[in-house]
Amino acid sequence: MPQPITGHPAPHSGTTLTWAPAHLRDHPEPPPVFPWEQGPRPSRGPSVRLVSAVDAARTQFALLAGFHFLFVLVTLGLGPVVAIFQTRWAVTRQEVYERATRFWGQLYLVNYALGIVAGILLELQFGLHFPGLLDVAGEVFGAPLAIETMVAFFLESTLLGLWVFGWHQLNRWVHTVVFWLVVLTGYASAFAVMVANGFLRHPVGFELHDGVAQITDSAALVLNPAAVLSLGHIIGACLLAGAFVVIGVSAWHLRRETGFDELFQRSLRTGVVVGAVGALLAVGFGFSQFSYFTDGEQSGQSPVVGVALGFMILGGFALFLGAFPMLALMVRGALFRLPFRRAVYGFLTAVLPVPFVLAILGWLAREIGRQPWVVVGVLRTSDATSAHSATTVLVSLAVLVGLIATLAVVDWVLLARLARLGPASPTLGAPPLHAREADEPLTFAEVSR
Amino acid sequence: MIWTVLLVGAFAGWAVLDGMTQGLGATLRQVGRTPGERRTVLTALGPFLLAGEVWLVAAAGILLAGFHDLERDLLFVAYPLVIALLASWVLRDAGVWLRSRRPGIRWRAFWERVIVAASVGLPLSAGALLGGALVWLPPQPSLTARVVVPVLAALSALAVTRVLGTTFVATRTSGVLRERATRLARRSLPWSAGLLAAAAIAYVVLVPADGPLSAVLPPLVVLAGSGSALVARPALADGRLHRALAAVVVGGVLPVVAAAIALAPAASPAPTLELVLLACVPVLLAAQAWVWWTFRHPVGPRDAVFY
Repeated sequence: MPQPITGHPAPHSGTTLTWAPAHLRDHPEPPPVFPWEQGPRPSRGPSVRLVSAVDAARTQFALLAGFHFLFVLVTLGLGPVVAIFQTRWAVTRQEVYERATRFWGQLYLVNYALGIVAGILLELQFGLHFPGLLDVAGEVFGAPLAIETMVAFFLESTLLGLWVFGWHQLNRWVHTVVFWLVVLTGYASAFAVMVANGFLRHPVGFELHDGVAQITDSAALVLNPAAVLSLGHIIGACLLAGAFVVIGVSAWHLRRETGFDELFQRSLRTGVVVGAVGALLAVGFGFSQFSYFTDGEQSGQSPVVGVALGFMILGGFALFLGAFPMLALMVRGALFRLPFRRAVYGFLTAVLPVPFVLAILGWLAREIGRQPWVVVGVLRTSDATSAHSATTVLVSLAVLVGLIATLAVVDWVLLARLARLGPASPTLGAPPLHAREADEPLTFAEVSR
Repeated sequence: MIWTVLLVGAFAGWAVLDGMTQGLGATLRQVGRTPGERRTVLTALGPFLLAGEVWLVAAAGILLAGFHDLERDLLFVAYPLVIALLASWVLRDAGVWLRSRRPGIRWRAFWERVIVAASVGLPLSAGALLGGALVWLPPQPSLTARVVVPVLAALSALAVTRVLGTTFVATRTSGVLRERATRLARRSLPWSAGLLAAAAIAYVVLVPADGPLSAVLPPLVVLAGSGSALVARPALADGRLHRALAAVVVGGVLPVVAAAIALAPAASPAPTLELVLLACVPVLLAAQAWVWWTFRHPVGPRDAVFY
């Protein structure tokens, strides 16, 4: 049961925080540093300009979070697939599993690279553009994020470096365990982020003292249905995304008969099982989330939310229903012997983007559905936004989003290229003598230590 | 108190551990003259890119959870610097990850130049941010102080990371790469010592003293810079690289710690969280120690190549 919230005003009770102390209603700004900065500060409310600072800040956050989310889906979805293949390799010592681990592992890494940089940009968005959120809910909202960055992400990244470069140095069991730990800490990260996000959607486990939220019940905060149920839903979405990448790439190679039939048939089979689990989780936990929605939230929402939610639910059902025939086709490898299998392979490659589109729709529904609140019933987004002018925020939007969008496109093109090249010679885990280009002799490869 | 220790520890850890990566990136095309040599330098970096940069992610998380006021004010007054730091961080990482993902001289040379530029921009913006925090919160009365201290802090950070990076490369490579890196490190040492001293003196002269700490901290910075240079230079000349690395690491940590003490950030206490984070610290340090210990040798035939 969610704990009763002290000082929780009814939603839509007014446009300002009438119950908050004066220093929070009017955010205290540090004095200007340079003389040319003096002069009246632009107000953060809606301005006569085309775009208000609030809109610019929200757009920047939404775009950066959207890019980050696309990469996270693959990191969390492909991680278990790589871990499964590496475990099979450790157990059976078969070459096909080694190749599968290196091939899927390399795609995992090239995707991870952009996920991490997009995540770095997100972490500072709260302080840059939504300082009011830190003033009011810094302790409650910051706690899970501190655990995420300092514990889960810290371990995930440190161990990932150990995995990539420990290829010929660590014992194969230790090396396998290291990757499972990377996967596990990645999921722990996702949970911590959902605790923070769940608090915004359905604030529990805190009390307001002088307008500042303080944790009174850590268990309620962590076991918030808006965190736990949503995590189940997100994990399902991630597994679906990872599965569609594996299935789509495998089907492409099988259709073209690139000479790695065994590897890609096994991959496709693993992908279908992972995807079926993902579809079940995504649909099951998706509907269970309606349990904590209140009537007040449903009214007055942007029409975008309804449309996004509707499409996501339809798409989710389609994937769920599609899982059954796909599982049936896996029995004794029936798919690989179908007379019209090439058409099926082509279809499976073509639908690769579907779970990504659905995940973005679901995320839009959740985030836009919370507006105009940043913390539902506690703090409005417009009251949390910094006093920077719209121009300042738009400039940083152009710089950061432009950077991430460019790098994301470069990264996706590289991923497609690496996926097409196939598992003949992935760089990941190659002996140094094989990992170089003809024009790039590695000076250390021949020297003994 | 615990919060301050966590914040200063994480930030100082980033300054030296990622400082090595920054210095390595900034000198990538000076130490490595051919594509193969540069790839060798990036292999030397290998596991330490992630192991170094996670410290700043952790520091930002601690700032968010325990120091809302500092984060809010610093990010407000130093907005462009924060954007510059983020942009150069993103570009540095993208360069290292993407450079070797495609064959071709032009592709690789392009990303190498991105790595060099971003690895110069990163310590400059981080140093300016730290110097800015000292004189902009609250703003010092003298405009000279508000400009000179951040500029000198930025230049010091650039010089210190250059020393750290080249000494690190010397430790992790062999042959001609080690010779070049050692030479560059020896040439950069006087710069890092001099700039640190200049920054400390500027702070003493331009910022009015308050309390006994301001009498102790600037000399500590001067001492850290020159002391580490005095130990590291002969050690580099004799090829005692681990000794040199230890000296420049200490010389890099102390100024950051001194600046943090002078800043004296006020934490907003969250007792439960403090204990949870503190309980995790041994695990985090163990994971880091495992990485640094596993890859302590110069790169050799057994090392995996990826970047």
